Amino acid sequence: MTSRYMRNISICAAALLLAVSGVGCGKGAETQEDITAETDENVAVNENGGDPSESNGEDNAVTVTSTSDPDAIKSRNIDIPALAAENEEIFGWLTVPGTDIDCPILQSAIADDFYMTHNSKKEADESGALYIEMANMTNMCDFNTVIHGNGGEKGLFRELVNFENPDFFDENETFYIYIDGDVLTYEIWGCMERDNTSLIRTYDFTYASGCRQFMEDVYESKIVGKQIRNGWEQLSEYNFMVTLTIDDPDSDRQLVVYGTLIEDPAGIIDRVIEE
Amino acid sequence: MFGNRRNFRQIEHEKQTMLDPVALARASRERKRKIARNILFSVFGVIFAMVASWTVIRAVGKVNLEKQAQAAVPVLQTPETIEAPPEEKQEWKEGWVKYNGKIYEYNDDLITFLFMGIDKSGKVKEVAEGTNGGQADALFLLVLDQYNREINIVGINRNTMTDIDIYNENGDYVDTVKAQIAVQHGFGNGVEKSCEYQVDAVRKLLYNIPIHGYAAINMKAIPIINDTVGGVNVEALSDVYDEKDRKIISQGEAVHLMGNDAAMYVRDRDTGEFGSADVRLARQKQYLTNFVSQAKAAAKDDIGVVSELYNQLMPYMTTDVTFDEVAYLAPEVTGYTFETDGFHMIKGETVMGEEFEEYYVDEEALYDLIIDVFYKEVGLND
Repeated sequence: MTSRYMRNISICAAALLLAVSGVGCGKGAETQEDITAETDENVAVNENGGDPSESNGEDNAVTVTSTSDPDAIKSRNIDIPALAAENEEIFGWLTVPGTDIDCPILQSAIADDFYMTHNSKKEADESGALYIEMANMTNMCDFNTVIHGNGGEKGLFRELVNFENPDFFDENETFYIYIDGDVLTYEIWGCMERDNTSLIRTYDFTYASGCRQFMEDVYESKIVGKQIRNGWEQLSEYNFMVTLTIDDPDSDRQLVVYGTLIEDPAGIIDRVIEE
Repeated sequence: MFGNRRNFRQIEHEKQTMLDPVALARASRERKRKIARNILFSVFGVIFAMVASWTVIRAVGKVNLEKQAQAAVPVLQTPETIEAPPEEKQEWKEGWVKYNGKIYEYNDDLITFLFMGIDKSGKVKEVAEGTNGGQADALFLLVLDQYNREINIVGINRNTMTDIDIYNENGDYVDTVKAQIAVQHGFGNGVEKSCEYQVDAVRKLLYNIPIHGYAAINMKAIPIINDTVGGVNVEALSDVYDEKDRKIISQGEAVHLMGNDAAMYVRDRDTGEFGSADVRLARQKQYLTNFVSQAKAAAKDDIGVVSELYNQLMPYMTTDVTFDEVAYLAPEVTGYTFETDGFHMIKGETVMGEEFEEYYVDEEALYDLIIDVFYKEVGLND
């Protein structure tokens, strides 16, 4: 009786250990190729590219401006109050020639990242909308207004990555922001990756010292692929900047494109600078 | 009295012996077979337990390392199509870099570890926040290419002038100044925090290349590491002196380094002599190159040397690399190639500062090295 009991215990223990080692071997038997393949799965590649003239949704319609003529772009009639009548959180419009980025800019009163998952009609939409955080002013008078957009296959900022190509960066120098009563022209002077942290929370742009710290970090940071346009090696706290950035919570890096105001026809962009 | 209290089984056995000796013998043989079977099952059970444990440990280590490597991989996204030959459509992807007319992307098959030699004797112990963490007199970045099964090492001069974050006695950030990179480890608690600060400083120097793990080893441990792999052969690049300033090795001498001789070979430096850090770095590079070859050979002969090394080093080492990660990596890495040109020194120039030597990196050469070691070509040319 006792020996039979011990025999059964031994058999059960061996079977259990066999099962465990089978699981471990299965996990450990993956080859180097499996490791590489699994890592490659993190690279989201869209073989289709996307037709820039296609609509992503009713109000995510990216109406590509067919001209890169600055005068034609500036004379476009973008009725911001009419857009705001549809959604009171629309305050501006962004056009980036050379890309399909041509859409409204919003600021949510609910949560900074509301428009990461909602379109400009406030409908749930993975394409999202372009938006600024609540800490930025909608009158575009901050030192640095940060405009967020989604990348990926359907994101409105999917073509922002083109600025990482030095040739594209050299050839496409401006973007435009329409606000009520004004069309602002920005010159693109920088494109790089940085840590995926909020610029608004990292630097206090309300003070000149915060602005200078930001600029020092931008110019002195060592980043592979960083691009600074000739002549823009020294920004000052008296400039008005816009940062275009792709939201990707799964990445520890973020792509940023920096532009600085060079034309303000209505002369309404101004701010008090505190030391 | 005791003679009357006989075991019941014994009485039954005697009865069987008299009544049916054949059956008794058969039953005895059967019992012996059962005992043998049980012993066999037990032995197999122990072996399976050991194999299962080792396999699970390696699997856990592999999963952990994969998570860290994947976390650093830029998520590539889809832009519009750019001009390309009609037969081959290429798309610019986020994270691509154009350099000297060629397109590169970060090699996400790499795992990197920063090894620091700390100028402290004795076992590792936590110190109060301040500047007593010990300086990182040796800094080497180990780069493992899992796909090509290659080892590369990047050596960093301890006097490299770079951004150093200053922290006060409360551990609060105060300022960032330019100073020798070795001093960064001095801030913090002498263990994990100091290492993290040092890793951060090296990462920023190297264009924010991901660093997946670190190991800081007090110089006292060098003889242990050295002797565990059976010693290291070198042809001495310079004279070496011991702690009492006695010459123990002559330049040009072929030496099999053991014990304290190994420690002094990589530590000795005449701080009064200009460029002494460069001379020592050259010896460290040579020693490390030969050590890697020796360690690989030793591990191939007996993989147990890895766990022995890890356990012996623990009192003298601060690391965030766990044993299961080591268990996964070590058998893999023994099969990796390590060529002599796989050891890369960051080019630059040593100048005398106000008080101490300062090493200024050649930024163009550094950028070239970063692309060469950490990036791979994707083949889209002008």
